[in-house]
Amino acid sequence: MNTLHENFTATVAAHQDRVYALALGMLRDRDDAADVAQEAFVRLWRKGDRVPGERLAPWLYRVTHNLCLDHLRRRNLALKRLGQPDPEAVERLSVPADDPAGDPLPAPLAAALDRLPARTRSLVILHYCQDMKLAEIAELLGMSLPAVKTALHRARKVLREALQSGAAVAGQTLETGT
Amino acid sequence: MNPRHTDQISDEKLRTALKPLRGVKAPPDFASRVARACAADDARRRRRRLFLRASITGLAAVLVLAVWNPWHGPLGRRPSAPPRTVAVGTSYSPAEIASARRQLVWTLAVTDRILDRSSHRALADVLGRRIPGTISRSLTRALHRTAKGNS
Repeated sequence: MNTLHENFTATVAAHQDRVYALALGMLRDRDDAADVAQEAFVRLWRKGDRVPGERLAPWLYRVTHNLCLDHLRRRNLALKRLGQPDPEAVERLSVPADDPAGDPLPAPLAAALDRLPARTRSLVILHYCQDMKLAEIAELLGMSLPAVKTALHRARKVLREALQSGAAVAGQTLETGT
Repeated sequence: MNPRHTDQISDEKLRTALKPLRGVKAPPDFASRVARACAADDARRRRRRLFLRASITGLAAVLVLAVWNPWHGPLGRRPSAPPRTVAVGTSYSPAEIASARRQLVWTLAVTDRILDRSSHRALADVLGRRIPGTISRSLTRALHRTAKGNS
C-alpha cells in the first residue's frame, strides 16, 4: 500500500503540470482546470496499477480530454439555462492580464482558441504544448490521421489570423502610444 | 510561397505564441489536494459497498421471509388454516412456486442492477446463507443470466 501510495505521489508530481496545462488550454479557467486535473488523477488512483507505465501519459491525457468535454457540455447547458452572463459584470470581475492567476495566453490567441471546437483545441494543445506526434494524437482522440491533419490545418488558419490581427492591434497601440 | 513553407512558419509562430501554456504549472498545493480527494474517494467507495451489502442483505431477508414463510406462502398467499407441518412445495402447485421464484429472481435482478452491478458476489453470498443450497444455486444462476441480458 505504501509503495503504491509513493508511486502514485511520484506519478502525480511527474504529470500534474502537463495534465493541468491541457485542462487549462481546453477550459480556459484555472479553477475548472484544477478540478478536472484532480478528477483525472482520482480516476487513475481508482485504476490502481492497471494502467501500464508506458501508457500512463496517453491514458491521463485521454481521461483529461474526456473530462474536459463533459465539463464544457455541462457549462454550455448551464449557460443555455441561465442565459449569457452580463458583459459588464464579466468585465468588472475579469482578472487583469498581468495577474499570474489570469490567462497565460495573449488575448487574441485565447479568443481564437475559444472559437475552436473543443476537440480541435485539445489537438492543438497536445501537438504544440505537449509535443505529441499526430499519429499519437489520432489514437488518443479516436480520430483518423487525415482527420487530425485536416483539423490541425484549419486550426492553424484560425490561430494564424488571430496572431496577425493581434500583431496589427499591438502595432496600432505602439503607433498611437496608448 | 510554398504552402508547406507557410505552414512551417505558422507552426513555429504558433509554438512560440503558445509557449506560455507550455510553462503553466499546477497550483502549488495540487499534489496534496489530489491526495485528499483520493482518500475521500476511497472512504466514499467503502461506505457505498457497506451500504450496498446492507441493503441487499435486508432486501434478500425480506424477500426470503415473504416467499418461504410457510404461514404466508409464496407472495403473501394466506392459507385458510396454518399447516401443522412445514411443507414447502407440497401446499402449492409447481406453477405457483415457479411463478414466485421468477418474480423473486426478477426483483433481485432489478434491485441488483439499480444498486450496483458489482454486487453479484455479495448477492450470491447472501443467497448462499439464507436459502437452501439448490434453490440458492438456481436463483444465482438465473440472476447472473438476467444480469448478462440473456433473458
